[in-house]
Amino acid sequence: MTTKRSSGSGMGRKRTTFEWVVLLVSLAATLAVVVGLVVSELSGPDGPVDLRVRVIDAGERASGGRPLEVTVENVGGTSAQNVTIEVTVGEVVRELSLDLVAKGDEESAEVVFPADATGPPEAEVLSYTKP
Amino acid sequence: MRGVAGGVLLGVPLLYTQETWLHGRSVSPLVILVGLAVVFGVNVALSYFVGFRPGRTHRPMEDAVVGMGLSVLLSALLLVLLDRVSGETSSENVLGVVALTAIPVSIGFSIGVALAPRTGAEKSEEIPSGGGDLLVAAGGALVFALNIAPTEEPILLAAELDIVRLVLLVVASLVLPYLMVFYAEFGGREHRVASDGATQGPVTETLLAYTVAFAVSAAMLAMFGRLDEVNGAATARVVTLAFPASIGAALGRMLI
Repeated sequence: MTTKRSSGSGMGRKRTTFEWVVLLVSLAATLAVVVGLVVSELSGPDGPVDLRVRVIDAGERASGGRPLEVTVENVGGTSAQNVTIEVTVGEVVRELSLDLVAKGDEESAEVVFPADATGPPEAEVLSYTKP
Repeated sequence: MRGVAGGVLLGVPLLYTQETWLHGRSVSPLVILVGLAVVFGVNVALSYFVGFRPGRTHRPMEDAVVGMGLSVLLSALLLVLLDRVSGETSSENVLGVVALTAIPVSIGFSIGVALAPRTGAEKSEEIPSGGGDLLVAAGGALVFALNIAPTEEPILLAAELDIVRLVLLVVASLVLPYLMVFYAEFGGREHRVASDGATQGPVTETLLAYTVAFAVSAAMLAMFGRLDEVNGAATARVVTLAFPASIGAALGRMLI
């Protein structure tokens, strides 16, 4: 392919050191991406969406109540969009949604309960859409 | 440096699109690999005819590798700068987003020279009749369609347009590019109108360019998982996306 054309003013000119460096760096970057994509295709998580939810107290009282940090981890092989989570403390229920929890990633958000809502928090996934 | 300029020009809109980050993390690595392979082929062809550097078009394979590699690095740098990938993102998802955004950036690298010609692009005169025009049309269509395909808008528009409007959209996708390429007084119009060859008649070329834009649009929607089956709704989506794609195809033919 490189010798097919006979015209072109730069024909036959040797590569400069800079061109060699750029070529090698580019080749390395391209190969890294290709190999990385192949590896993640072969070894990445497989199967459907699998969401795990954790809730912990986010610390000091703030925003006029008791903030809780909700973390959703997707251990499945498919990303989940528009994830809706329901968090309950005693009688009080809060809902929150996350735009995307990609496969292999985790996302966090905080919900605020009334300061007098005491007791252990519970959380469950209500719904999500597949991208 | 002109390659970087072209890459930034064409790649930044996609970098600033939320759906790109979402899809980069949810599209299968295999699909992104196929996309990269196709774009690499387009880049080899563009480098062959247009030239990545002034006065040098005889190493298209090497230029395409350089364009692709630098695009990957440029995309990664910009994504880090915009805080779209960080240490907390899993490596698989970083790869997905970087590789996806590298696709339009790398096309920008290859046609950067055409966007701002210096002494290069002399081989563009040698682009074989028909095939070469369709190649640059595909490049232009790819850039426009890739920027829009991941967003919600073509899906929303397609769902709301009735058959009459869809037909009118097809007509507009044919007439506007025709007028842009053969009637609007941009540089090189005489050459385009006068060029001969079996597929170079203005009407034929416009129809073929639309076919290319339609095919590119379908491929882009399929890549982002938006064409699950072939039916009326899917056709409407492709028709909706083929309009901007055909404008991109016209721009490609005007530039080169």
